[in-house]
Amino acid sequence: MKTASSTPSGHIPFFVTLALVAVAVGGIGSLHGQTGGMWLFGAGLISLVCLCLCWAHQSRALFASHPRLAYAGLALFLLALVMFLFSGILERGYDVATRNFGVNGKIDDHINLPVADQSTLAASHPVSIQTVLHLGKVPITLVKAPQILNVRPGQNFDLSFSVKNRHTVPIKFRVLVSVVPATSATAIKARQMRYPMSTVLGHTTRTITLPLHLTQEIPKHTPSLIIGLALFQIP
Amino acid sequence: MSHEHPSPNGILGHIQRWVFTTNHKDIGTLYLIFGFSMFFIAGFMSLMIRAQLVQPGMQLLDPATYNVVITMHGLTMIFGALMPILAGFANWQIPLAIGAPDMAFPRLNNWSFWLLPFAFTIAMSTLFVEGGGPNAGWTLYAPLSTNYGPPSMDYLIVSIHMLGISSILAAINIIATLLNCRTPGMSLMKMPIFAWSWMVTAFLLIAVMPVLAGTVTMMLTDRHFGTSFFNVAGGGDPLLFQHLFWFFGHPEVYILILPAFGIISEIVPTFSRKPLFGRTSMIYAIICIAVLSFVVWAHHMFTAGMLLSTMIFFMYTTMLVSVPTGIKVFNWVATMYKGALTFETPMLFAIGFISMFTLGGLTGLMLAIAPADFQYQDTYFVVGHFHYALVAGTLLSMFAGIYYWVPKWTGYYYSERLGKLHFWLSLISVNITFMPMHFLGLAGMPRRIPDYGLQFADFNAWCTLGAFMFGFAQLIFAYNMIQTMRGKGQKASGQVWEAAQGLEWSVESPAPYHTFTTPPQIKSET
Repeated sequence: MKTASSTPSGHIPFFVTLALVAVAVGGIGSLHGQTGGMWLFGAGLISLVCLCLCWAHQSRALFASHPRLAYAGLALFLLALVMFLFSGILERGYDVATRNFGVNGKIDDHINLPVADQSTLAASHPVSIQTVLHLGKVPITLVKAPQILNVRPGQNFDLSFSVKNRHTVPIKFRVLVSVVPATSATAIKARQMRYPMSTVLGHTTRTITLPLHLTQEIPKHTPSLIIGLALFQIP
Repeated sequence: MSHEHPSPNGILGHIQRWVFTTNHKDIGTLYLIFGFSMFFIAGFMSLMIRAQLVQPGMQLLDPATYNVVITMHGLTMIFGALMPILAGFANWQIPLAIGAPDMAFPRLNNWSFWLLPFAFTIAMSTLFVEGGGPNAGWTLYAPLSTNYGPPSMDYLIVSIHMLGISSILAAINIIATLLNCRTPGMSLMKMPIFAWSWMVTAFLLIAVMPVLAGTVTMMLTDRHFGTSFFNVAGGGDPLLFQHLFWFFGHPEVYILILPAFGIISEIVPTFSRKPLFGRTSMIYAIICIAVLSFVVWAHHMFTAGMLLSTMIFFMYTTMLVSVPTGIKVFNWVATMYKGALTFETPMLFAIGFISMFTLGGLTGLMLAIAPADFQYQDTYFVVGHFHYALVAGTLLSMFAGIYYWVPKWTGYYYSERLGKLHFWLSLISVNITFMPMHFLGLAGMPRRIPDYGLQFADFNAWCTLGAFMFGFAQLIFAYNMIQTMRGKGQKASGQVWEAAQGLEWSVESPAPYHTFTTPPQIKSET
């Protein structure tokens, strides 16, 4: 089968390349505040659109005589587009997986969990929960660390710690909760938003409380857990 | 390369001919010249790395510059050298092999190629911008590349976008050509193995390059548009980057090796004077490898803190990939068994590929075992492994393919003496360079470090010696090819190799500018 065109000219494709380069360089240049970046981006975009329309117009007659080729090309282009969107789906899927399967020791948020009745609590084994707190680069001082708790499966519990802001400006940070061993992460549920955001005003001390729940899913041979709290400052 | 192209007038005519060409032979030539130019540039970077590591202490580069050099070496070799050279083979050989006059979309072909030089100009320009070049390694892990990356990272991101567009368009062209432009009588199962390898590779490219594009887009939005895909403070996760990147990254390495398998599957039967053993199983093995490549990515992340069940799954799937690969190796060996073997340069490189790639595969199996990988990860063991697979694997197969087809492209044989010298020097130096790296890794030398402890000194010295030997060997190759292109060798007939089979050998050498304007008829199994 012959191709769509025996000796087509490569002028338009080459100039499409130049237009794409102008869009790319101009776009990044304008992000960096470089003079002329926006103009180059705009000129490149307009040229790109015009050249692509020209190319499509030139190809129309050829594809009308070779519809199989046109459909094959279009189908493959759509496949590429679908895979581009798939990366967004992978991102969402990862988010769901980390919450539901405890991937990387992450915990799930599950608001308004019921508390087990007293007879169930009395029959289950207590789990010792220790906490490791990592302040990172957040410019606050730890005043009171979280205490070691003994919690029974099915019980709500609160992890509290106090921090002091010795600066004048308020400091905003987010707390990332993780569980070791990671296999027990699905047994810990947050009773409010997964990554709570907190603000400590200047020259004040604040107690941060994380409401959590230990489910019955905790394996029977797990007598203790370590909950890691990592703080990340939000600008 | 001379192949009865229309003669342009003057310098401007020549420039116009090459810039605006849509002929698959011209574009194949452009890809090959560009690819080998980038190979020498990235090779120079590798010699800078080895010069830095020749002995303990800081020799040549400060740590920041060293990080930039290793990043650009990896990116340039993979995207600038290996992939364009393989695309050059595809452009030259696919239409000739299937009896098509040209690729399905000739102007798209032009666009696919010309994106590359501009993309790499942008990428290389990052070395000279304020803030320094990209320094996060070729894997560009977040948050190093997002929160802490220099301004040049944004230019690298657009460069990667352009490279991705080029690869996707080339893949679309190849699939459309193979599905629609085969000569009458050539069914899919009668298609040459090289064409099959490129069909599967093209589907892999379309499947995973857009995922890379999405990932680097997320990087760009994290850097400039307030998103936090990979930023924990905003609720994101740096580990997400690793998953997304390696979902692209592992099929990418199969994109680099499958066409190499195709080249070897063409060469070994020719110089064994026997048909390829288990031809159908070879085709299915290629497809199996491609399908399995989608479910092994997290073996690059065994030490990232995944669940045990996840690690076990990826360990098993990674080990499973060795089965179809082993089928291919056994079939090549079975093809040679009781064949009338001759050891011209292409065959030497093919046999070198089979043995060296097998070694790389064996170390890959070691890395696949998750608990063992806890020791190997991020050490020089991994560096040795992938360099065996890519240098001693893909690169040797590329040399095999060049020596095999260059008489068809130019109409002249290369110098067999220089070819054999190139082979032996390359084979020996590749082993001197990369074998000690396995032991360095086992001894505990980490990757991506500009200096190291005294206990690693001797083996590093050997690695540097081997690297410079390898670099010298490539100069011999370059000289041989330039002399061949200038017509200094013996004239080649259409058949070129006595037992070569395939439609490309039915046209004269050099192949005419326009071939198969009338489709040939296939009557029997090719």
